[in-house]
Order: sequence, then C-alpha cells, then structure tokens
Amino acid sequence: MSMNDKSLLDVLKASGCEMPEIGILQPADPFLEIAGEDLRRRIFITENPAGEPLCLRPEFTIPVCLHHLATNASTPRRYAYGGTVFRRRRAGSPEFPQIGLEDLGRTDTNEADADCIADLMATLDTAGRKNTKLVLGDRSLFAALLSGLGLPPGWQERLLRLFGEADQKQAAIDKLSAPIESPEARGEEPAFDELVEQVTQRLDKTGLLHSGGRTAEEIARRMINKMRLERFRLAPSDADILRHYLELDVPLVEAGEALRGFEDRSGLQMGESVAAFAQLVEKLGERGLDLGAARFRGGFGRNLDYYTGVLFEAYGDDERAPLAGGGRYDRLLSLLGAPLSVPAVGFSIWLDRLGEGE
Amino acid sequence: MTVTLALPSKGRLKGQAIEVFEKAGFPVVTSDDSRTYHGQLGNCESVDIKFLSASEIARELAKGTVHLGVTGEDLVRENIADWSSKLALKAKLGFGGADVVVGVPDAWIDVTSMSDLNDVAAEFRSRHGRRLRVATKYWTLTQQHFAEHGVALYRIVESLGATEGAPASGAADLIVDITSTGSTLRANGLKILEEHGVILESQANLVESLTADRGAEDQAEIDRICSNFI
Repeated sequence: MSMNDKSLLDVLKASGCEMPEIGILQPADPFLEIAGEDLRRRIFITENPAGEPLCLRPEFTIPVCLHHLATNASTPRRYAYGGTVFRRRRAGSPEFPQIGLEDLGRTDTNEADADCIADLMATLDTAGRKNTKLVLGDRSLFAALLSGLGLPPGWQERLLRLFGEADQKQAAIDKLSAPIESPEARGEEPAFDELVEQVTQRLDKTGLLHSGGRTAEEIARRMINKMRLERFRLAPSDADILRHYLELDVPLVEAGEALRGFEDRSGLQMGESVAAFAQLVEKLGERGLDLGAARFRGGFGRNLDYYTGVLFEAYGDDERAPLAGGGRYDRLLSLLGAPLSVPAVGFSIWLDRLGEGE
Repeated sequence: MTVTLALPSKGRLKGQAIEVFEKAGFPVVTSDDSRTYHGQLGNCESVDIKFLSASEIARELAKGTVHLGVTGEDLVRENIADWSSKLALKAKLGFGGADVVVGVPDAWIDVTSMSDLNDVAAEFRSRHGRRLRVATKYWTLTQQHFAEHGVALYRIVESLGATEGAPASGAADLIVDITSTGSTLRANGLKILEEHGVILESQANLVESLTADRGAEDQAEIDRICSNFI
C-alpha cells in the first residue's frame, strides 16, 4: 500500500477501529459456502499438503468476521483493514488494493448504518474524491413491500433472492401474473401423509433413504408448497405496484417522501421500514454529508443472501465501476457459525479506482 | 509442410472415426501392426495421422500441435478455456453421441426444472447445515449452466468415475454427467430434469485448430478435407 493509502487507513483507525492481522492465504471453503460455486471461477485456489483448498483472499469481510468469531471478541466492535485482494474482474488486474471497515454487533442499526456511510464519505473525501455520487437501496424495504402485497412466503423468498438481478426478477414478476399453465398446478392437492409415504418408498427403492440428503417430509412439503405457489397469481394492479417500486429512482433526500407517496398511491403498508429509512437519511444529513447527488433506487440490490438491509455504492463518473460499496449483512455471522445473530454493516473501497477520472 | 490429423486411439470411437473418413473418400492407411499410433490419410498430398485419446486431441488442437482432429464437443467446451478463439467445430460426425445432463433423484417429485433446483438449493443450507452438492467431472459446463439459470448456492464435488452412484453413497445430492441412453441414470434411481435438464447434446466433431502453424497450401488441404464432411 502507498503512503497515501495508509493515510486513508488512518482515517478509519481514528474512527475507533482495530486492525486485525488478516493472512493473504485463506481457507477457500468459507468463501465458496457463502458466495456459492460461481465464485470459484474468479478466485485463485491452491491446496495445502493435506489437500484442503486454500485461496488468495478475494475480499476482507469474511476473514474479518472469522477472526472476530475465532477470538470470541465482545461486541460492539469496529474493524478496519487494508491490503491486496485477488479476484478476477471484467477489466483490470485481478490483484488490487482495498481498504474497508466492518462494524459488528451494534443494536442501533440505523445509527451504525449512518456512521458507516459517513465514514465512507469521509475517507473518499480525504482521498480527494469530493463529488462522488452515492446510490442507496434497501433489501428490507423490498421485503416489506413483498409482505405488504400479501404474497405467499415461497414467492416472497423467490423474489427476494432475485433482488439485484433485474432480468430474472422481471421474469419472475411476469410469471407471477401470467395465467396458470402447468397441469400439476390445476390438479387436486395431495394429502401430506400420502405424499410422504410415496416419496419414502421411492427413496427406499433407490437406496437414498439414509443417504443424508433431502428427506421424504422435506420433499413432500415442498411439493405441496410448489403447487400452491404455481396456483398463485398476482393481480395485474399488484404486478404494476411491484414494477413501479423497482423503477423508483429519486434524490435520496426525497426518498422518505417518495416512499410514503408510493404507499399512499398503492394503498399498502410497508410497516416501519419506511420510517426507518427516512430516519437513516435524516441521520446522514445530521452528520453533515452533502447528499445533493445521492439517489435512492427501489431496485438497487445485490443477490447475496447474507445482505439484509441498506445497500450502497459510491461512484465517480462511471457507474459500471463503483469506487466503493457496502451494506448491512446481519445474516453473515450466523452463516459463518455464530451461535446468535450479530448485526453488522461495512464497506470497502477499491483503491485502484480512486485515481481515475479526477 | 505437413498437415496433422488426430484420431481417437481406442475402441469404437477409433473404428467409427476411420469409417467416416473412408466414407468421405479418405481411407486411413496404417502399417500392418494394429498397435501403431501413426498413419497416413489416403487421397491427400501429405496428411499424417496421430492416434491420441479423445481428451488429448482437444488439448493438442487448442495448443496447435495438430491441425485437425476428431473429438467430442463436451471435451472441447469443458476443457478448453475460451475455446472458440482456438478451435472451430467444422462438422458433426454422427457418432459418439451423448448428452451432458442434470440428474436428480427420481424421488424428488417436486423437482422438474432448474428453477425448482434454485428453490431447493436456497432452503437446503438452513435445513442441512451445508450447501447442496453436485457430483461431476464437468466443472465448467456445470458452473455455466447453473449460473445461466440463476442457481448459485451449491457446491461441486469432483467425481472422476461412477458419478451416478454419488447420491446413493451420500457423496452428493445430484449429478451432472454424460449419458447416451439414460439407462445408467435410471438404474441408479435418477431422472433428468424435464426443463433445462440437458446442458449439451454432444457428439464427435471434426475440429480445426485455429492456432496451429500452417501455410496457404496446408490451409487449402485442410479446407478440402473439411468440405467433404459438410
């Protein structure tokens, strides 16, 4: 890291962060378990002599969280990090410097989110990037919308999983509002016990009854759920509401008003999440951030299932190459084995992009 | 210069490859010893034949050490990174047919499509404390196909043989494997997904290397041979 990058790290340290030592060589499994097999193509994998897969760290958040769990550290606690990460990208070297911050265990999540975003903007400011454009989205707002629409839980999960994948989300909405086609969706719903019996026989016949995979109950339950889901059709007016929400793109300072207006127009209740988001925007203002260029987008998301709340990116001129990104990821520490859920929010900055476009 | 053609060195593939070349008007001439790994192509100026294993043929074509070869489309798409910049599939040869498919337990009555698999993969971890596992030797084809259908939450378990047995042994939950009739799959209690269950319909192809050194005369000879297969 250059002297300049070190001074950026000092900004984070000054905001009450400790800096754990994070090795370059990391066990590969946690990354593949959390992000999925698709990540394998983008990371650099090797093995230790015992044949266990190791990789060059593709990012810092998972190692920092693993460090936090391994040291049984108390919360709340803030960590900062800086160093090279190794990951293939659409363009540019697969070896690039990042710094960032992880804020773990603060129960006032709104305060923590605001501090995190304020620290990001202060760091970018110190780096001389004063006019970055901040874009925010929120997974919990989208979840509240799906729940407010009264969608069956299975459909809520499906759509939430696609949050951040525009094309597939569109296809899912289209399917939700299209007429029923599949013959099984029209048939009579089988009795759960009979299905379990039928599936048990098939599992037994094929030697899978004790293989440790999906159980007969699990398969039968999903079969019934699937039939119910296939039958469910979204009223055209509700499909429009979903589409309108995903197209929302307003100045961040007007987001609260826009969301309340959206609730009024569509006649549905998104619960406390709207007030909470409006409050977050207020808190950002209180921290003296210039939000003139900042936007809120209803459809702005990431399709990783550990993100739970606010999501953000900061851009220079090129929206395809964010200077920084982050968000709230309350599910990650549980996925990594924490016995209780730990609220968490963080960001990382792509240092190699800071010099561009100024 | 000389043009080099690589043909499969073993079994039915070898016989069928020699047969299609003969039908196309190019008899394969080898010395009397049937164990030899060299030969010549008849009705050509100077075309040497090398007999190699089918997967070696794909690699040698990509490296440019042979000009033409007969190999499976699955081997090209699976093993050669950025294959279309190194190889050209010139003709399907009508033998060695097999599909690369997604096979799930027959008892999974709720799973008939990739989107079903996506739902199952998403809820699997919370029930079983691990990701859904796919046994395969086709890493690349599996990753591409699953990504195309938005399935991300699974793990690949490498399988170098008897892949169909992986679900019953508990090594994996489902498989991606090659099958010609589907009978081995059925015998192991597996079924092919009805929707998007076939990743690739593969067969033996005549493949041209785009990276091999060749002069204008060589290229003319290569083109002449290929044109007899189209």
